[in-house]
Amino acid sequence: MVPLAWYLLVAAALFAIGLYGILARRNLVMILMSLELLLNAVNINLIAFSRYLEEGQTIGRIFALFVYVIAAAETALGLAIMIAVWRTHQTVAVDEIDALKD
Amino acid sequence: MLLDPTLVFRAFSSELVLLFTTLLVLAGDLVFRPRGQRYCTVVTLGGLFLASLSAVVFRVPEDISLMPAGLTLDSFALAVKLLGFSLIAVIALLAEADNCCQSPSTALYCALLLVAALVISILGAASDLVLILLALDFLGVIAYIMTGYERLSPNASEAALKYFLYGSTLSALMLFGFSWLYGASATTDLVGLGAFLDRGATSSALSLRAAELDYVVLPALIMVGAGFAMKLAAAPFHQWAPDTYQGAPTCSTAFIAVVPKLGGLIALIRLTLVALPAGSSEHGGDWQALLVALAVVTMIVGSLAALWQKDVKRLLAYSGVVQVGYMLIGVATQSATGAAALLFYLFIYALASVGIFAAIIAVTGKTTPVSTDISAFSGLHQRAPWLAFGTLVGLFALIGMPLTGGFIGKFWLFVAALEKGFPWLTGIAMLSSIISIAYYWKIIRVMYFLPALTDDSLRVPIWLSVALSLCVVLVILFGLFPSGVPELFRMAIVDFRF
Repeated sequence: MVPLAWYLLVAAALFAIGLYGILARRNLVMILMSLELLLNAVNINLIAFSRYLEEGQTIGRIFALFVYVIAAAETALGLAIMIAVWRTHQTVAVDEIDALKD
Repeated sequence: MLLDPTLVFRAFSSELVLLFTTLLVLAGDLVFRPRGQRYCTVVTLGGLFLASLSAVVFRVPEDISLMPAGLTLDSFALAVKLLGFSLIAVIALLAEADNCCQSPSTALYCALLLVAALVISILGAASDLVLILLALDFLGVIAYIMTGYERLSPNASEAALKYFLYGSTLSALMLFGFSWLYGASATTDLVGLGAFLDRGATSSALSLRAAELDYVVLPALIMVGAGFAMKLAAAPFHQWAPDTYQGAPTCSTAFIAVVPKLGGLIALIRLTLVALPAGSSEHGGDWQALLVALAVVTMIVGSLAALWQKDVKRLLAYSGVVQVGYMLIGVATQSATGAAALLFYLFIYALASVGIFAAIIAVTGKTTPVSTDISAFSGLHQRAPWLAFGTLVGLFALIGMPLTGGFIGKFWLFVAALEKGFPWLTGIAMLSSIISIAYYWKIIRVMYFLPALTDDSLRVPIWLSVALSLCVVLVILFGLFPSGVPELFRMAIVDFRF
């Protein structure tokens, strides 16, 4: 069986890539995709843990299902906000959306 | 495990009422649409009242718990319900006055408020990481929608975008922390988590020695803390707050200033008191250090930034950051006294800020204002004395002046901090209270000592006056008759189930 640590490393790497994407990308679509990566990293963690814990541990898998719900809701909302931003700004490059500042 | 159906109905009576009211608002809007918004507000207020009533009447016996559902229905949950419902009712008044941000659908806004009340009432009882996370994220989603409610306003969509990106990233970080806590402890239940952290052992998946456990739990706690900091707009994760406050329609700003903070703080209280209490394990100590650091940074950063603001909403955003710093002291004490003080202060803060936002709506108009510069408040005393007085009382409460509830709340918070041996933390809080006079004074000076820019008197919508008066009266009442109130809030915490 593959050791648990491998799964955790994959999840951590995925999370790091997602964070990098959110911080470095300027296109909103890419940022939303990076957000998905973050939540998928969490899911890998949860499912791997629930597999390697005692037999009959299901709470992690249920948790992962709820994370999918959150991911879906947030992506839908993110796309909606993106459309609103596109309509009002004619751009989805985040560094050009900077009217509000000190 | 099957639960007794009557018990379930009793336990979820207020949630069911809220759900039903939400449907009623949405369906009724389809039927009565021509007659306009009054219907939605009245139904919303009625629903919130009925929900509070059923929460009080159908109290679940203390010895029965809904642990399988991840809910702990103690008196803390009840207190949170009552607080949350009343605050959301006041915000609903603001929304009516605000004409729901010039959007075709008023009903949707009222439905969002009702759902937010539902989430708060779940969150008050949530004692499971899954439930806490779901409720917090759901509250976040509601707040993002409300921020971007005026679709055609560039500022509103920008504000919603910034709020959304910040919020979802940090909540994913919190989720990552939760997943590690789950992996280390094999449970998502707060009581189980607390017991596990107490033992200092590890779950079967991660075969770590006790000394190595810190490398897992501490980063996880830091991630969780970061997520909570974002929900509360605590520094260093507060950058979204000024932009979102400024860009959002003003009644949504009032919502954002109050409800997500309420939700985050009650979840934080339960997490801290149940899973990470002081002294029980070294993780409790780490968590306390984290919270103290967060409180200090938040107070300092917020105070310094607020001094330079020229826009009322941005000023209030930074002042909200500072206020969260005070409230974090209450959590950091990890005591029931601190939590009760926090709950009380949170209520006063919420009333004061909603009152001030009501005044902002009255002064700068219904929609997302182009400018909410402080100069808009010039000579408000001559144009609308009651409005100016209400704002003054709200600001005094935020400063913590005697004779307002703010003083009692702060006093109680500081006493709780001193009891637990944080004299320097209290010192920093005092200092930032003194600094806060400087930036609140900017508004007071403009209102009372500068001539008005225009001569025409201000017409204040009736709902707005009601909301403002309610806030002012409550803030003063709590300040004048403080003796009974702390007991009330202490009672809410007393039977906290550890």
